[in-house]
Amino acid sequence: MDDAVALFNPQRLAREYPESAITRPFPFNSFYTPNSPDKAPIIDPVSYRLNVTGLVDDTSDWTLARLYALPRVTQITRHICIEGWSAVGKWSGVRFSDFLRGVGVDLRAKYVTFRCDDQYTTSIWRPRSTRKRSWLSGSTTACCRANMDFR
Amino acid sequence: MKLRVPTKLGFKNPKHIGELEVGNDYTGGYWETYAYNWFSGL
Repeated sequence: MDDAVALFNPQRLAREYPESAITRPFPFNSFYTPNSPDKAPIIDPVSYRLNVTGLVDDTSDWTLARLYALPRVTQITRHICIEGWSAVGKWSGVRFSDFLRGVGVDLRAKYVTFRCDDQYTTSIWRPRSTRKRSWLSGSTTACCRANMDFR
Repeated sequence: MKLRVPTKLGFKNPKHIGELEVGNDYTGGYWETYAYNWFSGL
């Protein structure tokens, strides 16, 4: 168990910023090298599906249209990289806790794992995923383009 | 599709998500296999 879990205050939300604080251009960063958006996967917004698997009641796939029909919220927050740089960006999407509850997540489950189209993976605590400010943001390439539009 | 978690370091904010799985087994992640801290809260 990570000590930070106990130290972290789950009631505290990340600081928000005004539009004027948004970093332009917003940096692109990838786990692969060279670090270039040219290598980012091209996602077809029509055929895109988000697969939801494991300990949920509803494992049906999500199209972009279905995702867009969910209530959307926006945050302007600071993205902080382990490499030492940071940038303020703006993201919109469904609140992740709402999404998980909507698909009937098992509230005893420990982890949520993410598998990405560029073969990246990571995972987070399922309990923390019910925090107010974790959001599934935007769309597929459109989302990344939007972020890259900060350039 | 991106998960934005402002309380965690950038590498805990995956983009181009195609699948999310809820489970009880620890699955780690790409950078975690290189000994990066799994929790990585801010």
